[in-house]
Amino acid sequence: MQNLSEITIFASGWGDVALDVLIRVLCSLGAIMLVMCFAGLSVVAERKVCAFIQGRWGPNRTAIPLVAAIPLVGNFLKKNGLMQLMADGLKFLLKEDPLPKHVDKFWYMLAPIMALTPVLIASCVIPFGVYWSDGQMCPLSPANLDISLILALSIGALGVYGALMAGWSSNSKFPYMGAMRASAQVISYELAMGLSVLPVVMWVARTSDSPLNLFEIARAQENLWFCISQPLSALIFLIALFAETNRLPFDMAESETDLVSGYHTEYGSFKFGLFFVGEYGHMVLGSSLFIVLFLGGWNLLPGVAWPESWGWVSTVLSLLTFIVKIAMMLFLFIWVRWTLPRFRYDQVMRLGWKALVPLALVNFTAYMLFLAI
Amino acid sequence: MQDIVYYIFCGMCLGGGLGVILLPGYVNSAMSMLLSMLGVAGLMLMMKAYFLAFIMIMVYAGAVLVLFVFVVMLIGGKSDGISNIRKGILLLLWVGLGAVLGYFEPQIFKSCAVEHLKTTAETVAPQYVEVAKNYGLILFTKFMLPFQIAGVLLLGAMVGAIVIAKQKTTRKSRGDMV
Repeated sequence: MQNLSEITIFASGWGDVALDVLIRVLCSLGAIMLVMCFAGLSVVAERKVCAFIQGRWGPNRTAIPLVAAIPLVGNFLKKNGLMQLMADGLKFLLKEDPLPKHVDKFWYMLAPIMALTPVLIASCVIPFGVYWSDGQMCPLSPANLDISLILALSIGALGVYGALMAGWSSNSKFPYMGAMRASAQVISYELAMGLSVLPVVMWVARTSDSPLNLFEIARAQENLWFCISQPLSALIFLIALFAETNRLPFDMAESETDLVSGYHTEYGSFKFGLFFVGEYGHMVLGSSLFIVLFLGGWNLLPGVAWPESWGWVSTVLSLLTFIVKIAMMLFLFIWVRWTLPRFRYDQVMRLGWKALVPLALVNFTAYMLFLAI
Repeated sequence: MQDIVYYIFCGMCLGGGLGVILLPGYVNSAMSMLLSMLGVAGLMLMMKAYFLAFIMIMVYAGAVLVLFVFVVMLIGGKSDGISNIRKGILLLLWVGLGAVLGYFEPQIFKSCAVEHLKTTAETVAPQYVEVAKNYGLILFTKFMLPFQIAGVLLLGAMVGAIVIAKQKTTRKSRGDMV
């Protein structure tokens, strides 16, 4: 338990406190940058992969005048739609920002912020990699709490208020229905998600003193990833993750065929952009949680861990491994979105309450008995 | 630093509580309750009870209150005109309860509140509340009986709620038939 860094609000002098706060803010900015970069890139990836699946080229013409003229790089950026990303970002910033007359202004303005902030807060506990100090393994994350798993799940769950308040404050039918669906769905699948994580925690508790710590959970998978030893938990968690992030087989909250665009119908310009980034950020956070819980975290393969003797090379490699894994998870998200049709609402509820929750309970009980024996 | 954070969280708790009583509209009240809960969680964090704080956020802010907002949205509408009197009474109650508490537990309200918190965090609960594992151990050894009794109470409340909900619907349907 020595390597758990404490929240040092209790430090003595003002100078120490200021320095400590500054370092922590910088670390958190790093984590946020990682998540935001991935959120941005996954927007482009979404369009490119969707085009690939549908036999098209996808965005490949947007060009920024001077940058596109650079011989190799410019063409590469143009062909892969990376300049489209900048164009999209600028579009969100420069478009007219409508404020409809019939909305509840306070909550209307606050809702996009409420959708994005929880994701960014929760990203501070994900161990994106490892480093060694004084021969001890430490996680590459701004905060390493004893209960970081609970922190990630609970703060991530607060994101639903963004959708709820957006739908309510818009004061119109379709956003309202989208918000209702979103909240009901998130609550239903949160239960299955929590239950599917419990066997993992019990498994880690045999060897570690703080089994709710994401770092300890990832470290327990050096030899055997939990997706191999607990495939059912992994499957339930993955399905619940799709539901929590409102991704396509479950995107009840904004099913555009029957709800126009769901809870953010009344939003435009940058406020819509915040919802958009929030959704992708939630995906990145969910994938990193899945990676830490079931896919071995920063380890390359089951049984292959980055050696301590390589020093900072290992640190970089572990971070790269994690990033590649996130990219693969995001590809899975996009792949599923453009392959599977959307569920009907009653099917979503039936799957959640009548299939996943009982299955998760049986799974939990089975592992409880197995681990006890 | 600690003082400032402490007062911010206290402000969140009390302001949220006031908001529940005074703000117009049910949804605003429910969201004030969220603010209050986050404040309480923050105070728990300052006492180093990390596990309790985040369980508080997860269970109450993340699940129970979402259900509140859900139901309130389904019922909809703003609160009635009569509620101004009710608001006044509730405000009096809020102030009165605070005064009573301040009279009997003076150190909560005096400036030594922060000192009180510091000593609580460092002497009364050393190392104990910080680690989640201790909660499990203590819950199944020292506090086994209260834990079980609380569970039975909750079960009773749930059965009662189901019975009450059932009765209403059957009566209504009978009335419709007549």
